[in-house]
Amino acid sequence: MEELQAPPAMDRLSALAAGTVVPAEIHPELQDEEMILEVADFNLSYGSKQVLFDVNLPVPRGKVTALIGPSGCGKSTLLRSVNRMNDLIDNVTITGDMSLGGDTVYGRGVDVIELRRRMGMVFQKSNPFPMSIRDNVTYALQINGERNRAVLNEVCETALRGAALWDEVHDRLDESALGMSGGQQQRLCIARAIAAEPEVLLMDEPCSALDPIATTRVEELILKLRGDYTVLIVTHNMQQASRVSDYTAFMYLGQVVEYGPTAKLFTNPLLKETEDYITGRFG
Amino acid sequence: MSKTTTPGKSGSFTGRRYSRKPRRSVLWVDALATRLIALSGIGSIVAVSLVGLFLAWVVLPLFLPTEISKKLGMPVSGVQSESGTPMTVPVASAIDNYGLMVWEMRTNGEIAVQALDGGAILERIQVGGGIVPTAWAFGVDTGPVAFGYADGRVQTGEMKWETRFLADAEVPAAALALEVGETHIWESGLLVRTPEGQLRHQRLGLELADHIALGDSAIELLDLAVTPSGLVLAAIDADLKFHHRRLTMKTNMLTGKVRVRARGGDTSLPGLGVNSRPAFSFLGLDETGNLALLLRTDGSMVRLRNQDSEFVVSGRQDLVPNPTAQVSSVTYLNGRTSLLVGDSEGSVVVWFPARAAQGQEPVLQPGHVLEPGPAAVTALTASARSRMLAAGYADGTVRVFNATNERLLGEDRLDGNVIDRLSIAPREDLLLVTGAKEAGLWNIDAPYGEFSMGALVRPVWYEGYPEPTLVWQSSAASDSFEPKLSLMPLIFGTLKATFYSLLFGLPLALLAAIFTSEFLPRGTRARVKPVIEIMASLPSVVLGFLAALVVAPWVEHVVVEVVAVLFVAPFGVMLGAHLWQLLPRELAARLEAIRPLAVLVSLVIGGFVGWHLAPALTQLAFAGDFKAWLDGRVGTGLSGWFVLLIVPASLAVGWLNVQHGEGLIRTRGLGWSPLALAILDLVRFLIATVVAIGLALFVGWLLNASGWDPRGSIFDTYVQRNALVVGIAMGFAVIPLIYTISEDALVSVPDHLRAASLGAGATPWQTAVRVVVPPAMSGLFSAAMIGLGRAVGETMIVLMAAGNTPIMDMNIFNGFRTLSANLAVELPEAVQNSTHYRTLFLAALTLFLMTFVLNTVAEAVRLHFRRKTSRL
Repeated sequence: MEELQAPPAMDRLSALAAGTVVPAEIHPELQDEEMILEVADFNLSYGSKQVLFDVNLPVPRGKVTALIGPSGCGKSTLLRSVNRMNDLIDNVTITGDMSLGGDTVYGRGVDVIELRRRMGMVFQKSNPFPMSIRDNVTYALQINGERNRAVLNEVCETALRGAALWDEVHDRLDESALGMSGGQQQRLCIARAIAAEPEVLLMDEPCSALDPIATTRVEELILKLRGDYTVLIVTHNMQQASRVSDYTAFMYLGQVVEYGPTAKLFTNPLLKETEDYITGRFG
Repeated sequence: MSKTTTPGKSGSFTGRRYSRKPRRSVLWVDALATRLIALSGIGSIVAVSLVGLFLAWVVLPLFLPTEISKKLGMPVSGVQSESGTPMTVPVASAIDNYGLMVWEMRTNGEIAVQALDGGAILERIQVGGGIVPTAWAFGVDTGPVAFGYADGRVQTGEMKWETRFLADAEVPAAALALEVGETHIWESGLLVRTPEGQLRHQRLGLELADHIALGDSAIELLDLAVTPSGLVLAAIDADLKFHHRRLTMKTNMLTGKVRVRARGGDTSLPGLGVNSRPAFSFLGLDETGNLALLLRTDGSMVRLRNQDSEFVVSGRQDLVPNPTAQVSSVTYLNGRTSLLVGDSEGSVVVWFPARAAQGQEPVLQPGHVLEPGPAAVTALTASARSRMLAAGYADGTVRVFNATNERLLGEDRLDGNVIDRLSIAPREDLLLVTGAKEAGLWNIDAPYGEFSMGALVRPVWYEGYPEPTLVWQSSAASDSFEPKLSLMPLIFGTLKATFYSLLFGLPLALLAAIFTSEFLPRGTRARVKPVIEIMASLPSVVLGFLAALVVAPWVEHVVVEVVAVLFVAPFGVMLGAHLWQLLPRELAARLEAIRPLAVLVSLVIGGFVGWHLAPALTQLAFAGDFKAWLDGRVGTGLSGWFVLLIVPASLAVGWLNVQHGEGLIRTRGLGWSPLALAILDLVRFLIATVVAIGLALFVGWLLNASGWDPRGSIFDTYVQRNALVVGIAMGFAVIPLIYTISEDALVSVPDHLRAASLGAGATPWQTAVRVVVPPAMSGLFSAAMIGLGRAVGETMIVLMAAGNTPIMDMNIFNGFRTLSANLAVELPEAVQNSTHYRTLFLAALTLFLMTFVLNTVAEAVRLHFRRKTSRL
């Protein structure tokens, strides 16, 4: 940790493996973007095991940003740190900070509930609540105290249309959400997340449990959301990242290695390690 | 896998060969385990079924049909006229303890002792030395007797079966060859070989004392009561004089002669305004000898009471309201309290005095009306052992009833005979029927006549009670006691105990489970849970002991304090929560970690304030004396209503507040500072509190003004061992049980649901209530049901802390007796195979079925809920 000297590129992987912090290669295109989420020198440890090392990641507003990297590289942890879901786990130590739209996330006196209401989250495994489709979609509004039925119905329809689910379920809104297919459930979770008009939509491998057809539909949905919402998506599937995202960050062993426009990262990365990972030479 | 990694030529990776066939030992262990598991599974089901079956087996005889059946016919004992009918009518008879012989007295004053087997006359005794008595009275079964004569004299005496065991040398040779059970007529009695091989001789002994002169004219009616202080005699003579005597017997030590001293007085009935038209047909003395009943043939009854040695009329009543019917047969039921009146139209009615208010004369009530008979009632007799009675009718019908539950235990006919006299054997297994022309002996097969299904669950009019009631009282000191076997007070007590313990334990246990599963960090939870589970291992006898000897006396002194704390402490927590909102946001977020501590502190402060508010509350609401208030001696019902209504009123106001108040804040409060909103919220809470108190007071005032007082039902006289104490103690017994199961149910709700809810910005409480509790509902429900089952079956705590009074009283400050405690108390003392014993087993079966049904329902509901959420 003491050696701040950047090692040669070919040794980057071994340096990362040794726990040395190596600054990420960030493409200049990002400087033109307006950032909604800034991650600054973020470190996170589970007990004595450090999983994130000095992560710096600006997330541009209104764009889809993908986090890729091999299993255990900390991309899900980073995502869950954004809305402080890691608070629920005992024994987590955090240094550094993030800011959402200029407001601190980890500073003192932050209302976590309010913070989470500004973000939506879609999980790896679809997790609809055991209640009706309508109640699922309007959950965020209901816990916020909204009781006006007309408002709820309107939001429900808008969100379901936004999630491209309205045509499939509009005649069974009061049936249990558990009766839907896996792909529908995941799109319902997306509808539930966007119904609260989040500033950032966090997606943690949203398609990993879906079949190819359902995956296609979710990807189409993400493309549709681009522009209206800021999406931060973790994915294992590099094709998916290349299909849906504007920017991609490649993470390895708890550090961001390279971060830039998706097209550039996939076709002409700055680092050989990124190219090796993307072409499947390791990972 | 590429070719290069192909293993050696043997086709094996490791170079070893394994047989594909499982080893014999493996198969053997598998077969053994399969069978053992099947065996223990089936065994446990069989064991539980056997318990139920055994209970049912013991209970079953209660439900078997009863009957009377003719055992043997006999000639009548009286001297027959030429036409074959006796010239006399039997007036009294009794069977001996062993069911071998019978004595019968007829109107001519002759007592005939007859062997039941064969009907041979063993002895004839002439009462009064040839003078035919005009009146007679017999005590219970055999024992004291009295005869009245035409010259106004009365003779008392003692009549009893004399039994002695004889050596072989003392008896005639013919008797030596007797087999067990065989009888031999000898010396005016019967010799019988007992199962132990001894020879027993039994005969009737009658010893009469000197005559007592009562008046000058013929004694017409006579009765005798055996009281603890001696015999009491009452008589009416032809001059309409009522004679009353207390007799004291003195035996001369030297001569053995019994001297009778009689004290008492004579009263002229016309002087009391009592005439003898129509004629008197019955004179009866009650158990104390101080109350005499005179019954005329038309059913009109006059009651005389001994008031300072003077008899006065204390009541007149018509016991046969039917104008065409005549009294045809009257006798006392066992205990000399209930009067059996049979009339010429075949109806038999049991009359007894109901408990009357202080200073008032009790009135006879027609407590039981037995099934109407086919003809005039000609004979009535009561068993000396229980409430069994037999009725004979003019057409030869004989019926056996139980008076308490009005059950017809059996019916048969002695065709072509008017039934003159019936007699039930001391063991209630034989019935002697004497008709006008023939006699006979019947078997009574009704060992559980005191039991009836209806009496278990429906109110029964017991002797001395003002109305039919549900009572459990299985035994008493007196022999003439009427067993009262209604299970309802016990079932009520069980439900009362269950209700109050769950009222206390269920919310605490469920909230504790939600707290540890949803609000505590996992590490803390892993330590808290076992500690609460240790509570479950606390023996219930210890809890009961603490409840009875520590909690009960303590609560008695601080009951107002306890109630005040119960209400003020939650208010303190709510107030604390609202004050917490006043903290600046950043400070609140920083103090987040100590918030549970703050809750605890506000709870303690609330409790402290409640405790010290109690004396003032006592002054204000209960006129300074809570127990006197409970008794209804001071204060009004308003404060009682307030205590009952404050919780529903708070809930209602709170609900309205949430429904409408929050929307108002949402629309109006946009842009307000958090501090202003917090102050608004606090004010809103305080206003809601005042409104809730006002609402409770107003509704309470309305109810109070309309004449309803909660005292007398839910609140009543304070008894130290009461439902509140049991609720607290048994709450402690059920809390760990409910807590553990519901905590497991909550924890088993998948974490991804919590993550989704928290990720959407829900608070932990919103997550718990909206997302975690619904899928865990099946588990929470079965936890509650298992807690319920535990409370229903719990014995030691209720046995020690509930006072064990089998009363049906809603009063939270009164005791009760549960089915289980009743079993623990009474089963060790119940005579094996008696009605009481089997009824206790029926109570056990009821308890078994209650818990069985509860658990089955719990399981069914749990499965139903689980199906609904199984796709999670």
